[in-house]
Amino acid sequence: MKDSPDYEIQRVLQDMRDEYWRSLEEVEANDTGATRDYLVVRLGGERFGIETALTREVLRAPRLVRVPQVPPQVRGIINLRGQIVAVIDLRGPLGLPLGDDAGSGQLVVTEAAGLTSALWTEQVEGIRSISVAAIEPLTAGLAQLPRGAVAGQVLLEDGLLVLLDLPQLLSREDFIIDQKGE
Amino acid sequence: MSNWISERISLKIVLSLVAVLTVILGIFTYTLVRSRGDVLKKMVLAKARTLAVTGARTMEQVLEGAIRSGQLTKEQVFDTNYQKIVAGPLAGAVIPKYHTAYDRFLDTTIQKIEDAYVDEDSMVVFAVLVDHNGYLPTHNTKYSKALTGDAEQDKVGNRTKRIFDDETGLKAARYDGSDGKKFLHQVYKRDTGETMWDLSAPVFVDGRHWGGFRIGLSIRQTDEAIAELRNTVVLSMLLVLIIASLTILFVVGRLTRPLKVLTRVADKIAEGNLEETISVGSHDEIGQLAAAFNKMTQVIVKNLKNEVHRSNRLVASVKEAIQQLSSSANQIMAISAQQASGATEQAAAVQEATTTSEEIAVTARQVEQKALRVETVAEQASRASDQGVKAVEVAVGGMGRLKEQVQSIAEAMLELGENSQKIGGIVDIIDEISEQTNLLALNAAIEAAGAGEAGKRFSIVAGEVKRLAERTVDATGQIKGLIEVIQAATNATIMLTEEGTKGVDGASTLVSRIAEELGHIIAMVEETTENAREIKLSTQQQTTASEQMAETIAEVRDVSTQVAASAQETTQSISELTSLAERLKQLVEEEK
Repeated sequence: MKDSPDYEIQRVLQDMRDEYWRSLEEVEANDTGATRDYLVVRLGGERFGIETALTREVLRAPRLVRVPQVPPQVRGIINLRGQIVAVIDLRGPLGLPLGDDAGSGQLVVTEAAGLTSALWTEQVEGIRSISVAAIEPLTAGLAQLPRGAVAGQVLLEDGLLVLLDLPQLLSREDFIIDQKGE
Repeated sequence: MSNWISERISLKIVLSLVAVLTVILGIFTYTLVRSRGDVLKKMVLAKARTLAVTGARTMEQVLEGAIRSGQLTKEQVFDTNYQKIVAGPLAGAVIPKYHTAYDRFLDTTIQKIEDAYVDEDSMVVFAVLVDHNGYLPTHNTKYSKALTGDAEQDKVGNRTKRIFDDETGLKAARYDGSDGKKFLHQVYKRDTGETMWDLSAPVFVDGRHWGGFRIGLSIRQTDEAIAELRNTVVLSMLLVLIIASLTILFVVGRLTRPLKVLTRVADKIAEGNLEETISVGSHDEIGQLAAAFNKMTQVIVKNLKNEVHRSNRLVASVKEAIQQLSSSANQIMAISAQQASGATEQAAAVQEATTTSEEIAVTARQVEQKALRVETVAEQASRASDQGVKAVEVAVGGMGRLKEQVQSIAEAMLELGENSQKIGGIVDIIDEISEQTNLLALNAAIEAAGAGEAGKRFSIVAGEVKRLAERTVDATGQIKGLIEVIQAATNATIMLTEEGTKGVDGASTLVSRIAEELGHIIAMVEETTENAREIKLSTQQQTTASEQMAETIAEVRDVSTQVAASAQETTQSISELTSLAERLKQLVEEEK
């Protein structure tokens, strides 16, 4: 490896180029059946899928302004280009363990249940197109996830992906806090 | 013996007389015996001559008678044709026997005549007729015995009809009286071993020389007669000698007796009997001598008494002086004995001192040699230390350079660390950019998803952008890891170089201290060299001094040896002196 670092780099670059062209061809070829795009995020060590149609943008978690006397799932608020948006941590409602994660993570800005909210994630992994036919109901007994918060699950080559039903989740009573802010 | 003789006058006289008499009597005896012997022999010879001549005449008559009577011819008488006897009683004899024409005639005629000579005189051994060749026709009866066969017995008992042509026989047979003495006298040894006289007279037949008549005389009787005469004379002479000697001895002994008395008296006077006198009995020379002796004795005794009185006083004072001398000598002897013993002790002490000083000299020489060696070694050590100092200086220089190099390495390492830190900062920036890019790609993807089918390709581009960003993050992660490794390495290196610097510092300190110590050593070695040199000088001086001391001691020893010897000599002289005094004392005592 030390003997031929140039060769290694060349090889990596070549691989990248090949992959790029292959994926372009794949898109053109893989145009059969209905698909839906999902944003894959990581929460409490688990991967969850959020429907892309509901998302507006992804941004790095800025400094949060803490708000007193709000439910624990609301971590604070941010100023998103002049708009005040609440930052929601879904780990509590989803029954996931809370970790020490101050000053890190990424926010996914969503438009669901009639309100704009920023979901705190540990990391946004990317967008995946998932065939609608592959979506199946959540296996009973899998975690203590509330039934209403999950749209289904899909088994991918790199593991199980739980698809969140964001409108349902955000419509729950304890999320309704910011009516006065509207 | 000779002593005993020399003390007696009588013996001396006797001996000298005996000697003279012996010589005179010896000469007398010899002459007497000789003259008497000659007379005897002459008498015998005269008798024998008569016998021989008468015999010869008788034989002439017999032979001429035989011719006259016709019994034998003249030729037969002069027959020399000797026939060896081979038959008859005379044959086979060891000595050959012969017959002639006349021998048988003569056997009957002359044997009796011949035997008459032999029988008449006991001195006549044989009386025979022989012809001029020595042929003996008829022998005496006692020599005509029958043959026995024994050669020795026949040689004596049967001598007839042989030819006696030995020298004596021939001379007797051929003697013809031409020398005018009418007979021949020969002394010879017969073949039987007997010494004999042979007297022969010539026999003539009708004026012609026929042979001779031989008379054999035994001279033993004559010799015996002479010997008897000699013995008688010698015996008588000895008798005379003895009688004369005894007579002289007796006479002289009587004459010298007064002399013995005189001697005895003189001895007594010498022993101190001054009153002794000799009774004079005669008035001859010896009597006069005795009277004179008596007179002399009286005079001497008188004078002697005066002398004795004077000498007694002298002896007393001498004795006193001797006693003083003796005591003084004893004192001196004691002193000299002390001196001798002192000198001997001194000599022994000096000997010891000599040995010691010689040992000191030897030791000093050894010390000197050692000091020399120490000096040499110290010089070598000094040189070695100098070289050591130089080496240390070189080492110090090397250490300094090493330290500088290590420090520059440390600085380079620090720089390297800082630079990698900077690289880390840059990488952080790249990370930041990548993250932003990633987010941008995500948002682009979201936008593309919102655009529906139109944004499909764009979403792919966004995905690729995202992927690139992620790859960048991977790469920067690797870079960070490498930077961390580099920093860890540089930190370790820096620590090592610091340790190295410290080590070099320590080493420099040690080397400096070595240099310092070497300096001390050099100083000490130089001091050692100096000290060794001083020791050498000192020991040289010591050697010289001890050698001088040894010489001095030797001189002292010689002197003390001489002193001891002189003391010894003194002692000896004194002891001699003492013994002398003692002897003197004894002499004086004796005088009293």
